[in-house]
Amino acid sequence: MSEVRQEGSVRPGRRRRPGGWWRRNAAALVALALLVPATFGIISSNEASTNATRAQIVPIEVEWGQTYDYAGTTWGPATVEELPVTDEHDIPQDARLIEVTIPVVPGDEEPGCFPPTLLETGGEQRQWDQSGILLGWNTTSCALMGTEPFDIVAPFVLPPDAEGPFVVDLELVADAPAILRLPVGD
Amino acid sequence: MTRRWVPAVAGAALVAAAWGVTAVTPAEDSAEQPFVVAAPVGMRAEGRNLALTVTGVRAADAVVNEGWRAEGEWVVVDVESEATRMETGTLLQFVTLRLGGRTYRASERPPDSMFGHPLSVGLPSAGSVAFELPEGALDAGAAGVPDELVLRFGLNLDDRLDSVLETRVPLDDLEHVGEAEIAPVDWAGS
Amino acid sequence: MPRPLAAPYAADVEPEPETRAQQPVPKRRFHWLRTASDRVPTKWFATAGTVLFLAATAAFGGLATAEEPGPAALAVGEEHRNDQLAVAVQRAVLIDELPEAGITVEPGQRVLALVVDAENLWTEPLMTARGYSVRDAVVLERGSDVVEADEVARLDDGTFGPWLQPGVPATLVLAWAVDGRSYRDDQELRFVVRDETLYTASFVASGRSWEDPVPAAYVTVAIEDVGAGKDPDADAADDPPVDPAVGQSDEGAAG
Repeated sequence: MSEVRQEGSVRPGRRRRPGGWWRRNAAALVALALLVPATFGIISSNEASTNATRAQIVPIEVEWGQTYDYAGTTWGPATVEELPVTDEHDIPQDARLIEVTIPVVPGDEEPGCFPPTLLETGGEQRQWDQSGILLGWNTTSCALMGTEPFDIVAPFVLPPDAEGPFVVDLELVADAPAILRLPVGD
Repeated sequence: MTRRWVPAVAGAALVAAAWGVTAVTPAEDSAEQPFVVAAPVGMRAEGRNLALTVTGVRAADAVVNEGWRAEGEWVVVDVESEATRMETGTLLQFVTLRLGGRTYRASERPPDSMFGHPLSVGLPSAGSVAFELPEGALDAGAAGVPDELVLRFGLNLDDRLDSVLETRVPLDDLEHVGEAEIAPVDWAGS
Repeated sequence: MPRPLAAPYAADVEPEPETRAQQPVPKRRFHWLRTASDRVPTKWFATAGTVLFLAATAAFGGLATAEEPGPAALAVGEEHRNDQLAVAVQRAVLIDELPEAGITVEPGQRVLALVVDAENLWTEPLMTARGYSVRDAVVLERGSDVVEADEVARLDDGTFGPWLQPGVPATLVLAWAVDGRSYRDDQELRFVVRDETLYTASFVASGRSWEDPVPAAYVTVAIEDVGAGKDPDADAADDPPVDPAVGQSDEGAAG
């Protein structure tokens, strides 16, 4: 304690410059003043963009019978057809075989999407993948379809206890990816 | 003078307590152990997105499957299995057998088995998985051989914190056959 | 006045010779040692120590560079065992192509196939993917470097990248795509057999794995060139093994 006081008294010059410490650390202080808000700003914007991406993962509910424009392409409406199960299909005899068709009208750019999946809206909300490979069928998807209008055709094999109404989730590949949820009925 | 033994006893007690704490501390990986669901033979068991019934277990000196044949010490397990929630990426990929301190993985050698097979939601598939064991691994009474096989089924190669279905088969209950067929995968009930 | 001041100082110092003189009894036992060491000049200790050190060094071969215990030589078919694996190199074959082992060759390349008996000596299954078990354990020596096999398959049923179940022996084919002009019939090749250490991952990783291969032995094998390797019966075989020419233990057809 006494040494500090002594030091102050032997160097009185320091006292005559109020704000000397501030002046000496001016560069660091300016950097601090800029970097602290910048840090918070960058973290916040990262979080916000993550949040925005997540928002796209929540499916966009498309109304029954309506089309939806996304990334320059018009999608839907989805239609469904129940196909008879015969011996030539290598599927259980009590299963249901349905085929979902989604018309696609591309804009200037080639659209992109993943194969559609079918969901129960009620019950356990179970989810089925398209059964093209299982059935040995050629199915159409978004891959390399160009910019001419085309249909996505996807067969689904459902167990007898599957409960409608069903919806089809279509994950779109775009700058901002999105999932379209198209109703297909019972 | 009488208090001289106090620190000695206290020290010994602390050492004993430290040993006790070490002894009862769970292993590092115990926080991420899988959730084990019992799946007795013939009973349907359900885990995360997986339902499975072991319908039969037998030991064989040779196995056949779609024209492929192999000799050795084999255990063939017949199963019926389905997915319960979703189909994307749902494969019966984690199938192990534990016996005598060793863990075996279902053999990838038979061309058409349930091991690694995709599962459908609500539509069970039936087939077999097969394990290749060392010669004499199933001999009853062999030293160090416990009296049961422990089978585990799951969807993920990494079973940590996932559910696994576990079937215990006493060695005495194991039927021995000369040659067993690894049933090609088909829909259950067809 | 100065006397009382000096007195405590004197009192502190003076009794010391007395105490020393009063306690020679316990030291008498080593008195002879003390006397002897007093008579030996200090320099002699250093000299004696140096002589002892040099004698010991000379006894272990002097200061010449000691020869490192290099990897042991294994005969063809001789087994090398460690905690992870038992491996025995059986045969090296040069063949035009070997798609049955999952290997594809570029124009000008041929396949160097090594038949290896392997057994998993651990308690868990081992995979034979790149960087695992057999692929790390048996490597081809090329110059001062070693090369891992490009593909591994079972010899009996051609399963690609098979898993090794604990205690179950398997005969494998390790295949390298090599420059067709760099290898010829009867050429002697050296394969390095390496040991690995079992690590238990902790903190951010988990599980146990075999890492850090270290050369433990080497095997010198003469190549058999089987040319195209086509066996007349191969097409007729229902479920052919990896290749009849590779699988045969007797001489394959000369190219």
